[in-house]
Amino acid sequence: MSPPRPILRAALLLGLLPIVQTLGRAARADEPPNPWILKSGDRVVLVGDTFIERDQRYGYLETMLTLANPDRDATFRNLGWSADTTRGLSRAGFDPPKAGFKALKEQVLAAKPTVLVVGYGMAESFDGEAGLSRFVEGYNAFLDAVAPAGARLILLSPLPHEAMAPPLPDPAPHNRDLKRYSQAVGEIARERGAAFVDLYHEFESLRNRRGPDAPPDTDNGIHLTGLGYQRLATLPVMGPPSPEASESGSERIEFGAHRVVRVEDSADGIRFAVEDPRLPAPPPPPPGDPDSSEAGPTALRVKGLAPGRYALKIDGQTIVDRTAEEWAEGVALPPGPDLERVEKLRETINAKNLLFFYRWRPQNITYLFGFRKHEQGNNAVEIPRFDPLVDAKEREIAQLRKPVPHSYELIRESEAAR
Amino acid sequence: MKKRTSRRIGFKAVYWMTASMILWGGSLSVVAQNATGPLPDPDPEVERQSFIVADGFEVNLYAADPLIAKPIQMNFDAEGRLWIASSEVYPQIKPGQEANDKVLVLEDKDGDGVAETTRVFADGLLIPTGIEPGDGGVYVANSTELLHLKDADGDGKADSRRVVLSGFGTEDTHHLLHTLRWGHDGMLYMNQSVYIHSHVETPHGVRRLNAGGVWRFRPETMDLDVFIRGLWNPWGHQVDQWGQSFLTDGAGSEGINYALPGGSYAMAAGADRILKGLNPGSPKYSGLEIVDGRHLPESWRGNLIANDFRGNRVCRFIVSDDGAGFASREQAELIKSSQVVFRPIDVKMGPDGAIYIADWYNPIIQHGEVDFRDPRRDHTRGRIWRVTAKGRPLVERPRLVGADVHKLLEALRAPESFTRHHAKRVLKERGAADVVPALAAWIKGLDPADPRFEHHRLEGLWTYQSLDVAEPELLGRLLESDEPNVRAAAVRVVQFWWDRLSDPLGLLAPRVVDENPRTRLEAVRVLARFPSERASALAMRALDKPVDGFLDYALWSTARELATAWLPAARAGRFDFEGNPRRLVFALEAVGTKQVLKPLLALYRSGRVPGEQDEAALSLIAKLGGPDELALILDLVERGEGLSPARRSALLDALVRAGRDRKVVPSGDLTKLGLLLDDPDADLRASAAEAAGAWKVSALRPKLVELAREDDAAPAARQRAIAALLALGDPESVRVVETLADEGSSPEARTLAIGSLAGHDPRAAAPRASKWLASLGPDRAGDVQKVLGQFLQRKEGPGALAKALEGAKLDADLTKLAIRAVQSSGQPAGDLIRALSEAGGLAAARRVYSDGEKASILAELPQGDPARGEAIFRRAELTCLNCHAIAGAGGRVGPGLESIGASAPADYLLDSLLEPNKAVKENYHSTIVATDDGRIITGIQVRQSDSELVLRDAEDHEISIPLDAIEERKPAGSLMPDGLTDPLTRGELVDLVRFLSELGKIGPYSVGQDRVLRTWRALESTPEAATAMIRSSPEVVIQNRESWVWRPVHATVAGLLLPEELPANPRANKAPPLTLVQSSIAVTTPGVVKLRFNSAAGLSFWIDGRRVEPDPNEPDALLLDLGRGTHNLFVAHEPSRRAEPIRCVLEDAPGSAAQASPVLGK
Repeated sequence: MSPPRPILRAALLLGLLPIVQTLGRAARADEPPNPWILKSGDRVVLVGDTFIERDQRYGYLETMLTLANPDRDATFRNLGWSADTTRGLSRAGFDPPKAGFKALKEQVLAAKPTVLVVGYGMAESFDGEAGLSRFVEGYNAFLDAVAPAGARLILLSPLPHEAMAPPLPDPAPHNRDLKRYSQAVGEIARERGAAFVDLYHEFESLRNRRGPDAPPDTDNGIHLTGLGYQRLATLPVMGPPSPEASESGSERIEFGAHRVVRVEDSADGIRFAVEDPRLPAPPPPPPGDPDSSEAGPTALRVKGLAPGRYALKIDGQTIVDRTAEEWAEGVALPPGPDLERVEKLRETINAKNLLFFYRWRPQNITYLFGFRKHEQGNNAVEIPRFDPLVDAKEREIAQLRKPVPHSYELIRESEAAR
Repeated sequence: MKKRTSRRIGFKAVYWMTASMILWGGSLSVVAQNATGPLPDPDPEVERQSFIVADGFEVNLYAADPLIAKPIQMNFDAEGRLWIASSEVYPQIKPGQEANDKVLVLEDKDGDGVAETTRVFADGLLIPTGIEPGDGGVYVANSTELLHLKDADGDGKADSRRVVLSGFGTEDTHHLLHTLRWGHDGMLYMNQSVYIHSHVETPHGVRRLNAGGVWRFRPETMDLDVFIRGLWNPWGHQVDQWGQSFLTDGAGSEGINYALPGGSYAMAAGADRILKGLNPGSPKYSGLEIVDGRHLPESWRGNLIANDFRGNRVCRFIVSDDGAGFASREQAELIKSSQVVFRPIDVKMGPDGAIYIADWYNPIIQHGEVDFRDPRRDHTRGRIWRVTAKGRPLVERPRLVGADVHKLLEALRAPESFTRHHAKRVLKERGAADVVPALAAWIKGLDPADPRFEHHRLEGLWTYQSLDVAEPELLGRLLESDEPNVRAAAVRVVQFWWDRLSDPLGLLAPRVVDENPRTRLEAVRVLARFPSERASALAMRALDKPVDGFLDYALWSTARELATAWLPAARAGRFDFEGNPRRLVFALEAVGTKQVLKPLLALYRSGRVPGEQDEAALSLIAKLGGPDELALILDLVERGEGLSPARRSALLDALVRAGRDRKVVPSGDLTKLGLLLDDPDADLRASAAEAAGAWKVSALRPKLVELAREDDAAPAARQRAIAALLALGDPESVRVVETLADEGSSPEARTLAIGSLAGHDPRAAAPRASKWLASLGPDRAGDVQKVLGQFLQRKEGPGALAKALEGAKLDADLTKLAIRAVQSSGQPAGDLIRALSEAGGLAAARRVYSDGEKASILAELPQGDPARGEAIFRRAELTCLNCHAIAGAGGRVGPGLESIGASAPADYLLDSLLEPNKAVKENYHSTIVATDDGRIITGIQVRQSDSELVLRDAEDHEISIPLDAIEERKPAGSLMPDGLTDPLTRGELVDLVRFLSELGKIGPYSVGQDRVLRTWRALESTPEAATAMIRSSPEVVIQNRESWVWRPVHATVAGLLLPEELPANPRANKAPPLTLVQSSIAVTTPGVVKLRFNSAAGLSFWIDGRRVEPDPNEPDALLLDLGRGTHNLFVAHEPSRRAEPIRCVLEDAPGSAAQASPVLGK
């Protein structure tokens, strides 16, 4: 890990890696309530095609929603299935295609959703304009079928097809269709009074704003990488509004969006606490490795220190030492304990989802539950034994999602010791 | 001998264990499961010593456990490192278990043939079943996903993991995405198996593949398509030097499969027609390699190697041209082992020219029938064996990775396909910019005098294809190559460069009528990809050249796939395949939907359907037509002009089916059928009777009554007349049948009438049937079976009969046979069986063996006599061969048994005999279907298309059921009747299990590679045959062979026809009796074939009715020059003059190009 270094004030003004992107974005009276504000006991079920299924590998979306609702006892179930359609075409298994719809409906209802996040449209968009009315019909039929759950609906549009270098295909014709399918989802949401998130539009503008050298969101044009999912998860439209940015509690300290409280001068420095209402967002994964992540720095500025060299201790542990001038300029801090906690949370969510995957889509279903169950059906008793393992991970998640306060101290080092 | 002793000791040890466990109350089921005998010493050297290796070869250990555990697939990279996907989690992850399966990399740096390093490249995987290095990392099939793993920092461990494709099914963990293979064309081929349903999004669209097949994928463009569909479990794929693909099937039984582009094979989802493998009656194979290179003896180069993992053998095949496709012959094995743990699973040529074999080392091979958690499953062992030719120099290992482009191009000329393959891979990864200029120069510089010149140019073309750079000029030249294999390969490239060629149709036009059949086939298949009227017209031109089975399939598929382009125009009368009615009729028949009726009828009415297509055209009209079209056919049948009675009868049957399946009846006056009811031909009469009933032609009632009462009428005609009366349904007609069913009418009439009543109204029929049954003895078992069959075909039938049987008294022996008939129907009819048992005074309970008895039977197996066991197996009353084939000879209802002993533990065999439903062999589950007309049909699924389900019933007949007519379908258990072995003594049971457990193991009960004629028919000794034999000669009998009854006879495992099993036919004037047997061979490429007998002494021979004599130079062999088609061989002898069994083997005649194979089956 590279040592922290002072950074320019200009960079600070630009707000290097603000942890919360939606500062001060309060709901207006005429806007519908933010759908991502969860309630205690909520069961959030995500269903859709490859877009939803693959989030399980990275977990950004679920991590972000978990972090944003730290004091709500919500749980998540991902029922995404590659290339699935609103008719459940990927779920038919050995049965005729139309049986997929029944499977889809039963899977969703069995998960007992109170919030249903629907991410269909990419697989179906390849049917083009001719398939649009069928898509709308299928979408409505699906929502009707799962209506008995009484879940709050959040409908996601499909993503736009990202332009990649040849020999991958030119996305323009496909995007014309994706846009139509996205608009159709928006209309369905309006008609049904459901929440709608226009990811097509969000990603289109995100990509338009991005510099030419920035890494893409996908590696094939249509499926997000880990980085892509991190970008998705940190979109303002993908979460509840952030808490108001708080005054730092002291004119002398600037520390990103952290809530700084109980600032006290001490004999040889300054002492304060950080009590964030939420943990920070998961940082993007480093290039080339979507499975682990590396955090960017956050700057801490402390003005008005007496001349000298000050060591920063977080929760009693020495992190770095710098001069008073350097602290006044701003010092970029390595990822702190909160980011470690967030990564731990994301790993735990991924582990939970994997266990749940073994539970609801076990291998060898032919022998365990299907037409050869008279041979190995005796082993089907193993499958519900994943339930307590999922529960245990959820208990861990419930602990990890809560922020913990941290004590910060800047202590002037003894000149004599130098 | 020594080995034998140690086995006996082993069994004693188990026996002792059994006894002691009973003493301390241990679990008996565990004892039973372990009763296969102790596992061998896991020392690899002990295993190696068990190998019997082909002459001139030797085997050394390249790598072994504990460094590698459970290898599944392996592939070398361009540096000569061996990559292995391995799984300890297989078959099923346990709750709490971490998915920690691995990708291993093995390296033999010093080239001594032994890997000195084995590294874990990646872990944390869940049952990875496919692996292929490439694109700077390695592709891994990891359950639902295809991953690409990379080691960016060079520490030898993967540090990045990209999901390339996802959505592969996991319904069965030995069917998961597997067999990853770079093709000759730069594309990644991947297989999946029958239970898998895959749904994959790509930037080009969604791709779905249900059931088995081979995917074809270009990673850089994300183009994904399906190369072929079907096969049960295609765990082997390899491409030959000309770009043709071959597949093996780890659950099918047809050996090597030639992959015809876009073809469908066994179990392909929704296929109306499937291609067969090249070695019917084979055991199952895993892995496939085409071996070549200078290290191997000349005769081995180009041979195919595949693993009979059940039979512990590494097998060898020679594939040769057979028209547009191929023929395959098995040769002597490369390796066989007596150790059941030797499970060769994959085979690859190595960089040194040696053959490498992955050994999955496991006493249990899969998890369908044997418990997931069976303690005998091995999760930790595995070996890689290396096979070298003794005394022959190895090939110098190619250095490709750091080589310059020129050197890589030169490597494309190497004799070893390993080198060419990896050179092409390295060139591809260098990229087009670096390679293309040098490639162009290299091709230009090739020496036309080089005998391999054409092949070198083809490698050049494929290098362009790998780089995805079109090179039309080179392609154009290779399409005109003098080497037909090059033309065929070049044609396939046209498909991939289509948009980059100025006139692809113009390029293909001459190739559609190429003199080489495979080139024609490739061209026809490429055209299927590009629908247009011109492509359609071009493709069907191939019909003007000879069309063999492969080409017929190709043309049929192409006509269907292009239908959207030509059929609307043909319907509008705008398109007629260049005015060629034969092509048009072929294409219309291929499509075979209602859409083709209009143009087909137009052709028919204008008299332009060529004679040889007439039959198919009419059948199609009957299958699809509306009332008016059916009336046209009915009119033809009635007039009969130019149609044989058999043909007229078949057409009439087709019309009746149209009524049943589609509810369509011919329009117009149906009473004309009456004329046919008077026809002298019995079949035509029968069909007419059925039609009269089906269409409710009441005016014909008097004629039907007459026929129903006619004691001299053929039974089939009479039976249909009776059924027709019931179908008419009026009280008078029904009364006629009821009278026939009562006491007083003739036995034949009574049987027919009761059977028909049962099929019509089982409740009404049941009391009559009960009374009738009570009057019969065991000699009438055949009649009883027919009547019971009618009851079983109705939902309420078995219950009604069971009720009627209350208080009845039946003959005990008849009852036993009746119960067996009910059991073999595969339907759950417990009430009926109980009622029959009670009425027959039989003890209700079946013979039940306790766990202890089973354990002791298993312990006695070493004393069992497999020869006696084979004789028991062949007993007619056990009916084993009715359903089970050995090496293709026998029924196809149940699994082939040729390697069952080597693959299944003895406890499984015993359980399967005693309780057939306990563990049903993979792919042999029956299906019960209830149809909308109240019928119940049970059978094994053969195939299902979009419109019909085809089942094979317990009688080995294929029954097709329209999907629309299916009300309910349920999986059921085995079709094998319970209680078949009840009559056996305990000693006989021991012998039988011993025999089964020897099947496929090294010794007298493995079938070998000879093409033995195994399926025969013997002239049954009937009064009619005796009369014919007395009055005339065997030759006359042969020439009228359809007039006599022939009994199926199957050769023994050793291939012998046993004299004591053959009927002898008496002759006039006390002339010695004669035995006459018949078998068939199918010739696909004409020429001279040889039939060699163990001895021709005392035998006389006929082929197709023509007398033939043994070859003067080879007195025990016939040399026969045969045309394409099936030929019948007859062999006659006097049993008194020849006591020796008969064995006949089909062999190649020297210098002949003929391709032929014995006709197998029941």
